[in-house]
Amino acid sequence: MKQSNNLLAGSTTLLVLSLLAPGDKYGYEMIAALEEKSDHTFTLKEGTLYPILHSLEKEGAVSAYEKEAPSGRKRKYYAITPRGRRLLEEKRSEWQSFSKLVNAIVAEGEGLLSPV
Amino acid sequence: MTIPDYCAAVCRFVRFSPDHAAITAELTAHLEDAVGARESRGVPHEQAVVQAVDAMGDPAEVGKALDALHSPLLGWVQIWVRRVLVLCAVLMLLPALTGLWTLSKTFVPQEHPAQWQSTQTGEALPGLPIRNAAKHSGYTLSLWDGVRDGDTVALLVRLEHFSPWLRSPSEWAFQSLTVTDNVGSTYINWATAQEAHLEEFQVYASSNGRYDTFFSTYFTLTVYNVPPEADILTFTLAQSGEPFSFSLPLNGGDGHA
Repeated sequence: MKQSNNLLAGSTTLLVLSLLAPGDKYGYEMIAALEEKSDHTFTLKEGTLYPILHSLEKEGAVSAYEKEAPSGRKRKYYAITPRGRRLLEEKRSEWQSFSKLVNAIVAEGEGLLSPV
Repeated sequence: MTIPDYCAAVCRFVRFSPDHAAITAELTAHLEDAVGARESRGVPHEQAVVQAVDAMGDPAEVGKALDALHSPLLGWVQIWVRRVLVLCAVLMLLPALTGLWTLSKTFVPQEHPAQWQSTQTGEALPGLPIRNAAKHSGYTLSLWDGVRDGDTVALLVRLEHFSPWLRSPSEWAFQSLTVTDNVGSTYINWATAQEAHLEEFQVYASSNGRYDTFFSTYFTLTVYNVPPEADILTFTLAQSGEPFSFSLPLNGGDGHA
C-alpha cells in the first residue's frame, strides 16, 4: 500500500534532515536512500525535494557544495549544519509527541486501553 | 518530455533568471542518475527517461515552489551589492596602484646625472667627483660634477639621505651658503641679496629634480664673478645646526691661472 502524500507533507523537513544527519548527500542519493529505507513505500515526488532543500539552505539548516560524485559526475552535495541539527531535534520530538497522541487515539478507537 | 524539456519547464516559473543555470544543473544531474539507475535494472533508455521525468512530478509545482525561494528582488539586490563592492574595491585600489607606480619611479632618476655636463658650457673642473665631501645631520654631500665658463663656476652637488625619516632637502638650504675663495673675495648669496634688496647676487642654488631619486637629491650651485686667479672656492653653511663646509679646487695644477 502506498502512503498518502498528505501524511508525508508535514514531515518532509524531518525526513530530509534525518537523511542528512549521518552524512552529506546529493539529491538523488537522498531519494534512493529514502526509497530503500522505506522499502519503496515512500515515493515522494522527486522534484519537490529541491524546494525543500533550497528552503533549508536559505534557513541555514543545511549548506551546499559542489563535488564530484563517485560516478565521476559533478553533484551538488548538501550537509547538515549545527542549526540544522537543532531543528532536527525539535522536529523529532514534535513527531514523537504527535505519533504518541495518534497511537493513543487509534488504540482507544479499537476499544483497547492505551498501553501507557 | 526529455530532461532538458523538464528543466526548462521548471525554470519557466522561476523569475530570477541568474539561478536558472544552477537549477538546471541540479535537476539534470538528478534525472541522469535516475535514468542510470533504471537502465541498470534493465529498463530501456527511452522508457527510463519517461519514468524518471514522471517521478519528478509536476514541473509547474516544482517551479513555483523554487520561484518563491529564489526571490528576484533579493537576488538582484545581492548581485548589485556584490558589483558595487567590487567596484568600490577597484576604485580604492586604483589610487594605491598609481601611488605605488609613482613611488617606484622615484627610485630611478629621470635622467642620469652624467648628462648634466652636456647641458652646461665651459671647461670641466678637475678632480671631480669628490664623494662624501661633507656630512651633516644625516645628509651626505658629494661634489658630483662641475664646469668653469669664464668667470662663472657651476657645480652639481649630490645630497644623499638614506634615512626614510629625513625630508628631501630643498634648494633653499643652499641659498644662504657662504662662499669665499683663496684670494679673499666673498660672494653674495641669493638669500643675502634678497634680505638687503640687492639686485645682484653671486651665488645661486637651483634644482631641477631630473636626477633625483628617493634617496638622493641633486642641486646646481652657480657662482658668478669668480676672478681667474681664484684656485679654490670654499662653501660654508653656518645657518642651522653644526656648520659644515667643503672646498672646490678650480685648477688641477695644469698651470691655468
